[in-house]
Amino acid sequence: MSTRNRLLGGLFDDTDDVVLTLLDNMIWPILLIVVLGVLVFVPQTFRNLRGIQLLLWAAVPLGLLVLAESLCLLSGNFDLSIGSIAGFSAMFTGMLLGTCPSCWGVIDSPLLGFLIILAVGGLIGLVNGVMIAKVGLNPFLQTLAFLIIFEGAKTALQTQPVTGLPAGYIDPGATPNFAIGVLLVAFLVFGFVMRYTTFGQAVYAVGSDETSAREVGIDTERLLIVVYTISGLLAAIAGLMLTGFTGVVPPLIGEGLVFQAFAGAVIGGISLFGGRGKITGALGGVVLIEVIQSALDNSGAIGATQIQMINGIVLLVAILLYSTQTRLRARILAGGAT
Amino acid sequence: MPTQDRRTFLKTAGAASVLTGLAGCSGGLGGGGGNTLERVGMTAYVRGGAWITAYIEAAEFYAEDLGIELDVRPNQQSAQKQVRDIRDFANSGFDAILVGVWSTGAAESAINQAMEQGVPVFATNADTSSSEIPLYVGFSNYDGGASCAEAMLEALEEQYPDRDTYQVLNVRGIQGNQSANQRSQGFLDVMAEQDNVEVLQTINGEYARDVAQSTTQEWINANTTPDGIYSGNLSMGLGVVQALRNLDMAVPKGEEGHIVLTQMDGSPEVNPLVGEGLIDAAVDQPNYFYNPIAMYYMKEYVEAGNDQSVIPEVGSEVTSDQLNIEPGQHKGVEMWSEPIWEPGIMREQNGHPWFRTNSIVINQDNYDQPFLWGNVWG
Repeated sequence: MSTRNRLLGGLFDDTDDVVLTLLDNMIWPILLIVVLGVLVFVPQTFRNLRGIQLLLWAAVPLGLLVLAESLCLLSGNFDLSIGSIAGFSAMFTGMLLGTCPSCWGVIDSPLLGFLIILAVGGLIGLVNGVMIAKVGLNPFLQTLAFLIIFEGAKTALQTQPVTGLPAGYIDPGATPNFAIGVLLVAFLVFGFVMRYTTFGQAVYAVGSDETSAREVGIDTERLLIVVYTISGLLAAIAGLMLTGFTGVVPPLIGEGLVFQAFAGAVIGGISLFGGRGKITGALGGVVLIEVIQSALDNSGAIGATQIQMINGIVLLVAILLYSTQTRLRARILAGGAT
Repeated sequence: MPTQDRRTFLKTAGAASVLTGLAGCSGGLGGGGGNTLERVGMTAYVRGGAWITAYIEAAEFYAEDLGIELDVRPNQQSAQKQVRDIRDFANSGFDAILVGVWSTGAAESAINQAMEQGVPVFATNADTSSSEIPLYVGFSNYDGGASCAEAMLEALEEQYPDRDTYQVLNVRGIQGNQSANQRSQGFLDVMAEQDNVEVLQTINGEYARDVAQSTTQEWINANTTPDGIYSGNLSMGLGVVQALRNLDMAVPKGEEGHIVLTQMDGSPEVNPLVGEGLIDAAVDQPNYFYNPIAMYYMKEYVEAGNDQSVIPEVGSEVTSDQLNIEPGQHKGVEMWSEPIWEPGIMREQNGHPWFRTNSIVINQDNYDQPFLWGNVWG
């Protein structure tokens, strides 16, 4: 009897584990289904390896912003200013490096340019973190203010495309394989950090329950400052990649990307309420968005005017799936507790 | 001073201040008074690139030349902000208002209100649905798209004279945006009349360089190489050029494998590419004439006591013999010396007169001329 029960219990535990694992990694089967669908209905999207390369290359700036947003979301916060940080840091550094008539053109070293763009993005992220963690400002209001300020500051700096940037500064974003490599390495590094380091576990803990995290000795204020600083740094790298992608700094650089960044994170399984989700899942979210976008653009059957609507429907379906996942997960865990 | 006298004095002073205040308020309603154009308020989109900078700065230069005080306020991509600014201008003693509307219908009531208050509103670049305004100045987006199609047909026949049919791609702007729709439709309508041209697809460039670049390069890689690509604005046109460079397909005209590129608008970056032969033709707007033309008629209108008869009649054609925008030294050139806007055709749109300016086709013969705004605002 006891042996039979143990066997059955073990079987059910294993089944629950499999289901939970599947639920936690739901983005990948979804991505697989979508890719198969694209292969059937819009096969030209994956006509050759170049097509995949082009698709992933275009995904690099958004991917880095999704990563930045995912970190903030996992910590139980969010950052509305990432697109503005990307845009402003790219514009500021571009003005220093560019040779266009209205550029400042005071430096010509690509290396110095990399350091400056990172410093600008990191500093803005740091201020975001300090204002939220130390001063106690609401993250929505703080990052909304910075979204407006730095979008405006970008316009105050320049309303024309910044051109004449050194080749070495553009190269990282202009070289498809390198840019894709940066994205993949960034996700791998943060995937590892979030899973295997105390910092990563602390971010999950704060995102799940900030009070409990504080009570077990986590310096929540310092942690949030670090998270926002990293978010700013990643946004700056996104700005660098956007600059390389187009070869100039367009005046509207980075605008409108924050909502796509939220969408990518949520589709990838990052909880809007913090503490749950995998960084690798967010990468899946980015790829999913780009695959769908590319397939819609390449499809002759879908008109240009219908694409935005279909994108919205895809997002809604993803949200519904994750809502179902959350309920299923809770039910399984509750069943295991009895 | 006895108490009674002091009280009387305070009452009188108080009443006088109230009356002065009220007088000030009522004075603020409507124009600055008199039939002179001294203060003009302008509300427009001020972001987004060199094109807009040229459009705005030309207004400032011309106002300076005429001795007009021009207050430019950004609409911040918000119809609500624009409505607020129009109302503010109308209530702050401005003699007239220049507006490049953000949303065609959104500012109509504020514009009508200003007109009722005696503050004339002239629209430039982007039209309003208000039928009350004396004049709108701008080119035709539809005609611009059609001109791009005609330039493409000419270039296709020149590049590939032996081909029987041509396949082209249309890269359009933001969905639902009126100018994007008109520019795309103008192109498509001309192409639809051709038996030997197939429009392969219309793809979204969203008026953005990076979007046009990624969408075009992915589309070409996934589908086929078109013979020609039309882009609805300069940012998308530059994105298309970059896409072709990424695909190793950027070949100058006349050489084997050249893809014919036509687009709306020149720019400091576009014009040299036309010179190199990468872009075959760009249909350019006389954007630095829009506000000067509007201010020219605005001045006449106000000085004539808000008299509509100073505006050319609908159906007429205006040339530089009738309209002389006095050239001035700005940005190192004799600005407005070449009347590239002519002939202006007076049409009716949204119930008011429309001064439809001409457009100019930038090609290898004229890409470096100083009358192109892209060669001035670099």
